[in-house]
Amino acid sequence: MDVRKVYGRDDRAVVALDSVSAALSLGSFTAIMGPSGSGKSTFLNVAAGLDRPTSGSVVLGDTSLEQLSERQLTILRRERVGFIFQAFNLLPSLTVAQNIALPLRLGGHRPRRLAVREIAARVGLENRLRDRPAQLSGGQQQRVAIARALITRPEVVFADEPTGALDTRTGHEVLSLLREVVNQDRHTVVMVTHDPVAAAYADRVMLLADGRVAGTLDAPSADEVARRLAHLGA
Amino acid sequence: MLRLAAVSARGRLGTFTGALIALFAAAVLSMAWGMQLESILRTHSPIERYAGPVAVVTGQQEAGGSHRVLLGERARVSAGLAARLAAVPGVQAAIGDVSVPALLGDRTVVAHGWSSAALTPYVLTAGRPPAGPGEVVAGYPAALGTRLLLAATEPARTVTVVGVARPRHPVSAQAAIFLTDAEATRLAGHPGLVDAIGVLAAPGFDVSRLRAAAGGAQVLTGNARGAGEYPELARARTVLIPVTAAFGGLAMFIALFVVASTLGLSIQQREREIALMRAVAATPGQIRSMIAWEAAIVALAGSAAGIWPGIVLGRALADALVRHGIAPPNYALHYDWLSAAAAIGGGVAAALLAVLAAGRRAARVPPTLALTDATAEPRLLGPGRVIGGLIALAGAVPLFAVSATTTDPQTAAPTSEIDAIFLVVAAAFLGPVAAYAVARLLAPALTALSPVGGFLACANLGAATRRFSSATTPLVLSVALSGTIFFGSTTIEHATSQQQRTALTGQLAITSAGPGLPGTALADARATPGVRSAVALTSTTLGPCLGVPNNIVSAQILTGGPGGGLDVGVIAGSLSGLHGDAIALGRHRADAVHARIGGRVAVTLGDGTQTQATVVAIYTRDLAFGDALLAPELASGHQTTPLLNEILIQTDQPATGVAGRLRALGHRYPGLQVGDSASLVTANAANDELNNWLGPFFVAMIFTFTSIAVLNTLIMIALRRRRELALLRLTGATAGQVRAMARWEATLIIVIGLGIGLAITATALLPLSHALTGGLRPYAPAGWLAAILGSSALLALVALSVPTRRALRTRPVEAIGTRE
Repeated sequence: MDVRKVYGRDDRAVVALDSVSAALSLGSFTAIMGPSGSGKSTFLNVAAGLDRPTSGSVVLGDTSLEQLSERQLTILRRERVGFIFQAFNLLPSLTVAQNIALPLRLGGHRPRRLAVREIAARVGLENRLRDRPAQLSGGQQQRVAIARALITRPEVVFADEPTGALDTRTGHEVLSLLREVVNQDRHTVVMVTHDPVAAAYADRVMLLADGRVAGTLDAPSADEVARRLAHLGA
Repeated sequence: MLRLAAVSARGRLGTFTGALIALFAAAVLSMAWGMQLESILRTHSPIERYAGPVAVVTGQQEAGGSHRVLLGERARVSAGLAARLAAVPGVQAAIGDVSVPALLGDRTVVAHGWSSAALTPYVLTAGRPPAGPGEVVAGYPAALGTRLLLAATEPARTVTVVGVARPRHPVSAQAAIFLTDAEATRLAGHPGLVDAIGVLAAPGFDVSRLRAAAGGAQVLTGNARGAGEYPELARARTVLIPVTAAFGGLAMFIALFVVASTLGLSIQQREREIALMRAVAATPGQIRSMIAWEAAIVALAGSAAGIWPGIVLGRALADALVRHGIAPPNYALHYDWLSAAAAIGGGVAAALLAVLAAGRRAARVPPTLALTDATAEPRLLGPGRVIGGLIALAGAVPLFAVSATTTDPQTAAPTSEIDAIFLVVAAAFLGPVAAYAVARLLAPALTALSPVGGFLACANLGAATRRFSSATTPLVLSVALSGTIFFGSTTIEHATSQQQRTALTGQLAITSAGPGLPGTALADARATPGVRSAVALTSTTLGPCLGVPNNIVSAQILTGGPGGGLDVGVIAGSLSGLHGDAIALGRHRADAVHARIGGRVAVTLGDGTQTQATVVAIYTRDLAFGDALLAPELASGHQTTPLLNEILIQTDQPATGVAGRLRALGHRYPGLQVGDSASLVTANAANDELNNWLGPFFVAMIFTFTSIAVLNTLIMIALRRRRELALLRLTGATAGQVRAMARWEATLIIVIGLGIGLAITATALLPLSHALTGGLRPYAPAGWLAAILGSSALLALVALSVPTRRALRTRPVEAIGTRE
């Protein structure tokens, strides 16, 4: 992708992303890092088709997103993209199983019980299928969210601060799970975080500052990430 | 805390808008009805005709032991008492007065004996006092020597105006004319009795001596004298007080309900904020007091704003009450700070009561809630809801049992309304169970029908049962109360006119445009060629008797026994014996006193006279013809006027020809009207102003109120879900799918709300219908039913879909960031 994103108009415009180019390869785990206001979230929203770039293009596989209507974008998000949010964003009225199967149902598919059970087992929640989100711990809720993101076997999974609301230990569990789905199931994960420790789980870290790419690190350690981040004035 | 509450209330006017409007409406209504109540309590019958006497002596107008029941017919005193009172030291004169309703020319007047002119006093300004039966003095400007037709209790005859008298004290409620004392007494038809005795004082008058001399008669002095002048006004007052109290009370109940639900919901919406305050170390007590102060501020503002519009509405209401004949013509509004204070105080009290429960729960919100995400829906039913619901049901069940077993409409009608109120309260408490049950029941079908929208709507309904219950409750309230009250009255009305229609099989009916028809009109009608038979019906009342201890009993005087095509549904005995001291009883009264044909029953006549009557018949159509039919001889002299209301005619020749001949009787009886018996039914129905006008008015009132609750509740609920809707869209739901879900939810809310509302209406009305007609067919005109259900449904649909549409207009990424 190669995009520019401007909020507002004329002299009061705020440039959130300025000529950011990035290519994310299949089966990789990429972390996006940067200080507050560096454009991390805008990057994620634009890349995921939640928001449209002011100029430039976002290509997913062989589909160019800017040509799609709002409805086509929704369907693309549903079928080819998965989401994991900081606040777990489960529907409180649905059970764990129903939450996981929601994207399938929205796509007009009858959710197969076996598929749901399988994916729930993948995230270690096969025994909690009939519970409601309110009965789960934060870590468990985030694992439901991961299962929901993976159920459609999306081409890319976007995670926005997935450990932001979790303690260190459950955060570690969630990150290990993401690492596992990349390694074993060949999923592609893009994760926004400001935690160097979380970023260290990724294959690659992309650093953003003032809406521009300020560098990339391959297979970094947490210390290395922290040092580079400090340089950016975070 | 007050400061914090004020800042908080100002900052979230949006949240309080619903409660504010509800409190405003509550204040408007309670002010308007409070004014009426205050006015009725303060309205005295005016003192006009009896302005001269220091005391007015009448018969005892009240009867009954512990319950003071105001009698429906005038209680008179012996004419001989006047002489005894005149002998009391300090009494200058004691003058008996009779009032005879009459027509002089085309003016409706009240005729009196000339000696009673001194009571106002009327003084001659021209001419001389009447000296013979053909002479009259007009109490208003008239030309001397004019010859006019006088119609009173006899066939009309021509009289000459020999004098004109002017009152020294303004008299507005009647146009008085004066005949000779002998003539007035003869026309009044109750020799030996007078309506009232006016006592003119001389120096040394002592009211206690007068009372001693009056014996069992009633001595009225000061403002109370008006009651002796127009007992019917006092009677109107006793009708108006319970009507006003019932309407005002129900208005307050609905207001409390609506205010409670809007305020409760606004607190529920803020749970997260409250949790945050708890997290920064606000004590539960501080939370409670903040909520209470907020409610008090909102209530004070809303109620105070409602006072002035309330006064405006109250004035319009008073005008309408008079115009529709529910309030007496002299009804005047008296209101002051008392009504206003009651309206504002009531509003604040209702608001505080409403937030009491909600505030307790809010104060218990754990601080950690601020930090968690998935809003935990509360349990299906908390102990408070279970207890409240059970208490309301415990109230409803015995009422239902009473109304289901009684066959007496007078018991069934009020119990059905109170039953409905209890059931609405129970439905409000136990609503989550209904939501849950419906969700479980409909989920498979709806999911098959609409795999996304229907499925999500059912899942939400089953999980967020309380939210859905808050949404359905105002709909239940609206449908159940307006249905019960309105269709209750249409059912009674329908059954009544049905009975009349079946009973009136004669071809023609004679009525009067004036005060009524003299007794001779019946004989004249019978003598008219082509009339096979004719009977006369006259409405009257009995005092408390026949198993009714605390109210007057509706009755009719039937002159002429069987005939006239009148079929009251006699199931035992015969109307041919309805002479002398005979009485025929309606089925319900007969059951109540275990009457049998030929047996004697104790009867209190309309003027309070206690007597015994022989039961000659028992009949079924007591809705149309009252609880008892009296022989004319039994009632004679115990009515305010001896005039007949209507004469029912059965012809043996073509009705049009007979009608023409009967109309010719008009020269003897001015104001006489001839119509068919169907027109009589219509006229009777049209006269039932209480049902015709107040019923729809009341339904409109309920509707305005519940609309506020419906709109407010549903909009708040929809707003609260912005984030949830955004989340759905981020998960891949299209705007159309979200809208479909919202539509299904709205449908479920409407179906549940209207369904429970209708079920309550049916539960309340079926026993009433059974008591009235023996069948289970409440009469609900389709148009009105459709209007009540349709407008409720439409209201809910708009209230639910507009906010969803607006929520969908914001981009999901932005919406997801906003916390509810």
